Amino acid sequence: MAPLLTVEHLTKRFGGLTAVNDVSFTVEEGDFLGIIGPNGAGKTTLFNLITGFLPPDAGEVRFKDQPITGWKAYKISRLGMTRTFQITKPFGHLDVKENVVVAALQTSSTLREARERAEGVLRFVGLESYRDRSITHLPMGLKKKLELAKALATRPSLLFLDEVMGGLASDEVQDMMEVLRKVRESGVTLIMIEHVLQAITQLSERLLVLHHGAKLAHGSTREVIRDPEVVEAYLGEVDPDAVH
Amino acid sequence: MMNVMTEVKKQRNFAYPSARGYGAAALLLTLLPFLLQNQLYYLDTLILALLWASAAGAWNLAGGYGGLLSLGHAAFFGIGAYTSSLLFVKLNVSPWLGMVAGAVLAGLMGWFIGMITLRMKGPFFGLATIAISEVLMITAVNWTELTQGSQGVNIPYKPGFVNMAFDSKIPYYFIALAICLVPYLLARWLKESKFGYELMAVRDNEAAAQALGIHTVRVKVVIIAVSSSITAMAGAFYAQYVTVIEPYHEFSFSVSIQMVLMAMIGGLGTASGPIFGSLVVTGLDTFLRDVFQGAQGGIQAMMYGSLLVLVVLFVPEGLIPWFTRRFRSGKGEK
Repeated sequence: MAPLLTVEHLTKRFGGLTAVNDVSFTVEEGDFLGIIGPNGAGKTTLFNLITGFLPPDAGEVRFKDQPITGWKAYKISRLGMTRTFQITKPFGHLDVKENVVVAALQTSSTLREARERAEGVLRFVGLESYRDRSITHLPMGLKKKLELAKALATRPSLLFLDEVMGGLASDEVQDMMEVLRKVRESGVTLIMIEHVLQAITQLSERLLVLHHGAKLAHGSTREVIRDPEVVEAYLGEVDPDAVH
Repeated sequence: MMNVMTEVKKQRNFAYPSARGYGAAALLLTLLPFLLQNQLYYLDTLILALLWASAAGAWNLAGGYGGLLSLGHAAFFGIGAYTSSLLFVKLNVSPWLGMVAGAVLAGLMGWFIGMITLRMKGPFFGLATIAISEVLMITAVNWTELTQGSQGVNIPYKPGFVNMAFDSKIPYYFIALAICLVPYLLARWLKESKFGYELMAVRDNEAAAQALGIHTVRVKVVIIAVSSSITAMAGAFYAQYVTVIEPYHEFSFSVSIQMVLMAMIGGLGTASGPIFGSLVVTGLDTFLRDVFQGAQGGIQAMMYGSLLVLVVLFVPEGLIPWFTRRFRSGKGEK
């Protein structure tokens, strides 16, 4: 069977800067892939290229056996690939539940069904007691959860998470990890950008490391975090005994 | 449980009147013109208020619910006024049909502007609406064989239902009320429909809406076409009611701004906001005309300015949301 997602030679230039440089990888159904790399490595740009928010300059993306390179984001989303945003993007004039209803509507036939499903998703991520809250004063931890809830309500088969743990306190990180494990168990394939290394190494069984827009390493999490090149470029000075 | 209580509270306030409230409102709206039968001045004000409420309500569908800040809705208003008037004067077509024709034309124009400008990020849509209304004004002024230029079009008085011309003001009142209900009911429907949720999502965050699978350009183009059509209906009715139309008024920037202001004063993205805003602005306008007879031009502009400043300073969210918040205890901000 073909992989769920195939990315081949994906490249994006902004003027003289090559933000994403000839990146290729595949993701199988049920995988949990982590993407790490220093700031400016091209992680979010890579997400934008795959999910249709930016057109690539070169390369190809295939999802569910279909070439989707250059497709608009909404079409890709309807095919079952959606994303969250690093800077949360709630619908500010709608309350928490309505935010999720908008998403659930995309895969429901009636508003009533969408409202019921939104309730279910809110319970799933643990936001049910905030359903009537306005977005304005929602704390960051809940905003990140809402971001996840919206994405889940579209019933994706592949979900891109862009730093859903950024800015969270450690108990919130634990909470979010629990939710993500449940998402994984429900059969959603996940690709996640994360700086909270302790979280990403526990969750994902594969890691892709980007550095200056290019693929530096790709493999099982265990191998990648011991790769000397990765350690030098991103993980920083580590006790040499711990590497190998 | 909390949900149930919220629902009960919603029923009791302004924005969500109860069934009894609807009944009372319907009765009042039906009786009102008959009560004012001998005070034509007030009835006239009321009809104009309903007329502008229709236009402001139409603007609000795109501007308030969709975040599409059109600054040239006079273009659609003028298309409605000119289409029905010219069809009636030149070809003796019933203004009712003319109203439909104007709505279709304006809808197509709105769709066209939307298709071109709403794909782009930036202020192009708002600028394009201003440009189109200016171009239409210049066309109406200079295409004298068709439009009689700046003289304007006079609609001959031939009373009768087919000609949408009546001896009494009461039928005009009910026509204005009916047109006014179109954007009001559509706005209510937006809160209960997939399209409405998509529209509000697009307004609040376009990228997030796309990520969820919403075809944002289509949503925006549809609402601008609908909004344009209803604005044209108001324009066609205006022409029939006032019986003379002039390019310098119908396509003017001040007509465009009037719609925006009424919606803003009443409350952007609320169903009853534009109606309320129109009642306040039109009522004040009539009152000031009364008080400062003869000098109304400058006074009117000052009034708009002061009113807007006051609203922005003290009730930036608009009157309806402000009232709603004051009368809804316990729920807190929303």
